[in-house]
Amino acid sequence: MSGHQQSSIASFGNKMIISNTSNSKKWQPPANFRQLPSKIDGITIFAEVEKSEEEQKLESFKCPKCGATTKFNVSTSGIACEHCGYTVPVAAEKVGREAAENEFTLEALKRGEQGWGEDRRVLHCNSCGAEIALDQKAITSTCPFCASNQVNVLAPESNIILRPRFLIPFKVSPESNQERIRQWLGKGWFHPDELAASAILDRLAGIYMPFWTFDANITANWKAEVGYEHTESYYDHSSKTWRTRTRIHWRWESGQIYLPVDDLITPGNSHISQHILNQILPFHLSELVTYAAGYLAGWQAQAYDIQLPDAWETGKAIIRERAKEACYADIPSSHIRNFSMQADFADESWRYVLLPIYLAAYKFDNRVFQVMVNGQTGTIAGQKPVAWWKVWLAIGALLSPGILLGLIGLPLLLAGGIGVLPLFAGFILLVIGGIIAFNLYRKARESEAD
Amino acid sequence: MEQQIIPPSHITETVELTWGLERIVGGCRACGQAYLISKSWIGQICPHCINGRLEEQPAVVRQEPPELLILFQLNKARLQNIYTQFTRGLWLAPDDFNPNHLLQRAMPVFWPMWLVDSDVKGVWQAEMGFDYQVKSSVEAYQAGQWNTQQRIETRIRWETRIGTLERHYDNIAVPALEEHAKMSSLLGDYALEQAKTYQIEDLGNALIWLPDLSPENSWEIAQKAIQQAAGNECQKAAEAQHARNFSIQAEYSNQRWSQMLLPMIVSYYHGDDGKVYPVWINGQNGQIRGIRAASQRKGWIWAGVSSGIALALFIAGLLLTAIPPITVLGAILIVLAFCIGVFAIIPAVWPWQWNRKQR
Repeated sequence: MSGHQQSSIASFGNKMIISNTSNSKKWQPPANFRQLPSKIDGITIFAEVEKSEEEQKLESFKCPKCGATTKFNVSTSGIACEHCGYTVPVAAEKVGREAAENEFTLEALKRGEQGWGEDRRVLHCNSCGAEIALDQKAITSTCPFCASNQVNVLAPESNIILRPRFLIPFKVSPESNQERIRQWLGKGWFHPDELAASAILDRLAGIYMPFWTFDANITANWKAEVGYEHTESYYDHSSKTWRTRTRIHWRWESGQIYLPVDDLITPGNSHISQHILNQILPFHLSELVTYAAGYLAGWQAQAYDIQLPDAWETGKAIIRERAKEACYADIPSSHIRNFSMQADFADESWRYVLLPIYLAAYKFDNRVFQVMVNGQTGTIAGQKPVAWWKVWLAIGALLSPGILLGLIGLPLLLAGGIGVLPLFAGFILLVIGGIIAFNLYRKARESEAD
Repeated sequence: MEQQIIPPSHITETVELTWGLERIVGGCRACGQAYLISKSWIGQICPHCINGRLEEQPAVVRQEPPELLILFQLNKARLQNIYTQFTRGLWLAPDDFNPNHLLQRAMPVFWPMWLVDSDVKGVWQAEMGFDYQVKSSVEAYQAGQWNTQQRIETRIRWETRIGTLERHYDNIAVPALEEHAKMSSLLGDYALEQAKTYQIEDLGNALIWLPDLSPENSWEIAQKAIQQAAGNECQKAAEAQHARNFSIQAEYSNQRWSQMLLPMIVSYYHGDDGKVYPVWINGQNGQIRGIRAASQRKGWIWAGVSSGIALALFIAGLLLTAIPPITVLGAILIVLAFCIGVFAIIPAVWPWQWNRKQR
C-alpha cells in the first residue's frame, strides 16, 4: 500500500455545478439543493428543489406600515393597503403560453384523482388566533374577526392534491362591473323594460376558478367510401328523348391528418354553470403568470373538484371530435359513407391554472338570476328574465303573414284557380316565419337557462 | 499528473526473488515483447509476432506477483476439436493448414492486465435518469362509436444530482499491453469474475507475457475506469435507472497495483505464399480467431489443369467436326471446352478474393 495522493478533475458533461475544491469535507451543496437518501455508504446525494415542490405556506396579508389589511388591487396590479395606500408589487413572473406543462404520468393521474371531501375544516388565523370554519376547496380566506386576508389555506394534509402553479390576475376592476352589468341588462328587446333599472345586484364576488388546460398532438388515419358525382346522358324510352342524370361513384379512400391541440380549456369546478361559463370564454393564456399568493390576497379562490382524469376525458372527447372534423375536411367530397378513423394521441400534457371570474347574482321580480364576468376580458354572460308576452307577440307577427295569405288564397283557389299564387306565397312566408320564430323562442329560453 | 504516486517498477534479471518462479525473462528482438519463460522456451517462436525467436534478456518486472489469474479451461481434446472446426471446409487450403499442425504448435500464454486498488474521495455530478410511465391513448371511431385503447409508455426523466463520494475501489482492471484493444478484439470477453487467486502451480508451462505499459502510462485509463466504477455506484446510490454526463473531482490515494493473468493459446500455420498466419484462442471460453488463408498456388494449379483439359477438348472437338457422322459430338466437345475454360477462371481468382475478405 502506498499513501500517495493525486487529485484530478474529470468532466464528461458540459455543465458543471460542482466547484473546484481541494477538500471535499468543506464542500457544501448549492442553496437550492436538498439531500436525498443514498443506497450506498460513503456516497451522499443532493438534488435541486423544484419550485413546484416548495410548500405553499399559509400567508397573511397585513400592511407593514399601518397594520391594516392589504389585498390585491386590480388598478395598481399590486398588493395595496386600503387604509394608507401603501402598495407593493406581486413577485411573480409572466410566463404566458410558455408556462410549464405536465405529462400524464401515472403518479400525476393518481394525485389528480384525489378528492377534497365535503366536510368543512377549521383554520387557525395567523393574525388574531381565531378559529375559522372553511370550505374544503377554498384556497383563500378573510378572517371575520380581524379581517386579515389569508392565502394558501388548503389543509396541510392535502399535500397529495395537485396545486395550481399558474394564474391569470384580475384585469377588470370590481368597481367597473356594476355599471357594466347594468348596461348588459339593458340590452335585448325581449326582456322586461324595467330590468336594468329595477334589478337589485345581490352580490358580486371576484373568484379565481380552477381550470385544466390540455395540449396534444393528434395523428389520425381515416378510411371511408367517398362518392364522386358525375353526370351522364341516357335515352328515356318513355319520352323518347335524351336526358341527363347525376350518378355517384363510390370508392374506398384513406388519408392521414395531423392536428396539434394547444391549450384546450376545460373547467375544474362543477358548481358553476357550464352553459354561462362557455359564453365568457376565451381567456388569453398569454397573460399567465406564475402562482403567487399576493394575487389571491383579498379574493376568493377555489381548488378543483373535477379531477384530472375526468377533465381529461372531457378534453379528449372534444379533441377527438375536432380530429373527426379535420378528417372530414380532408375528404374532397361531401358524399361519405362507412367512415372510420383512428386518432393517435401523442405528447399529451396538462396544466392546472386559476382564471379570474366575477360571479354575480341579481334579484328581479322576486327571482334570482346568475351573471358571470370574465375577469380578464370583461365579457359578460348570464341569465336574463324574459318578457314572454313580447316573445309571443313577435312570434305571432312572424307567423301571421303566412297564415293570412293562406286564408286569402284558399277561398280564391276554391272559387276559380288564381288562389294558387297567394297560397304558395303564404306557405313560403309561414316556413320562413316559423324558422325565425323557433330561433327566437330558443334564444328566449336560453336567456333564462342556468 | 503526479507520477510519484505509483510505486516504481524495477528492472530485474532474477524473477525468482520477486514472483517466486524459476523462470527467466525471454524477449523477442523482432517485436520487442518480453515473457517470463522456462529455459526450454529459449529459441522458440515469439507468440506475439510469430516471427522472431525468444532470447534471454533483462526486462522491467514489477516486484508484486500477480494477484488474480484465470485458469485455462481447454484440454487437448477440446483444442483438437476447435482447430478441426476452424480448418474444416476451406477450399484450396494450404497444406500446412490442418488441425494437427496447429495443435503441435499451440503455445499457452498468459497475457496481463493491471489491477488497481484505490481510495477515492471527491465531489461528483451527473444527470440521473429515472424511468416513469405515462398514460396515452388511441381513439378509434367506427360505426358511429368511439372506442378508447389505453397505452402506457415508459419515459426517462433526467435530473441533476450532485454529492460527495468517499469509497475504496478494488481490482479495477486496466490494460497492461499497448495491444490490449487488439487482443480484446481477437479473444473476446473473459468472465473476469471467475478469476482466482494467483498460485504458482496454476501457471503450468505457460508463457507469461510481461506488461509493456507501465502503471504510470496506464494511470489515465485506470483513472477513467475508477471513475466509471464510481459513476456506476453513484447511479445505484441514487436508485436511478440511467446515468449520463458523470463527472467527478476527486483525490486518489492508497493505490495498489498488481496484475491479473488471462489465458490464451497461440498457434500458427504457414501459407503457400510463404507467410506465417497466427491463430489465437481464448483460453477460457475457446473462442478462436485467425485468418483462414486460401492457397493461391493451388488455385493456379487448378486453373492450369482445367485450362489444359479445356484446350484438349477443344482440339478434339475441332477434329471431330471434320468427320461428318460425328460432327455433333465435335460441337458438343467444343461447347464443353468453352465451359471448362470459363470455369477455370474461378480457382485462379477465388483465393485472392477470399484472402482479401479474410483480412
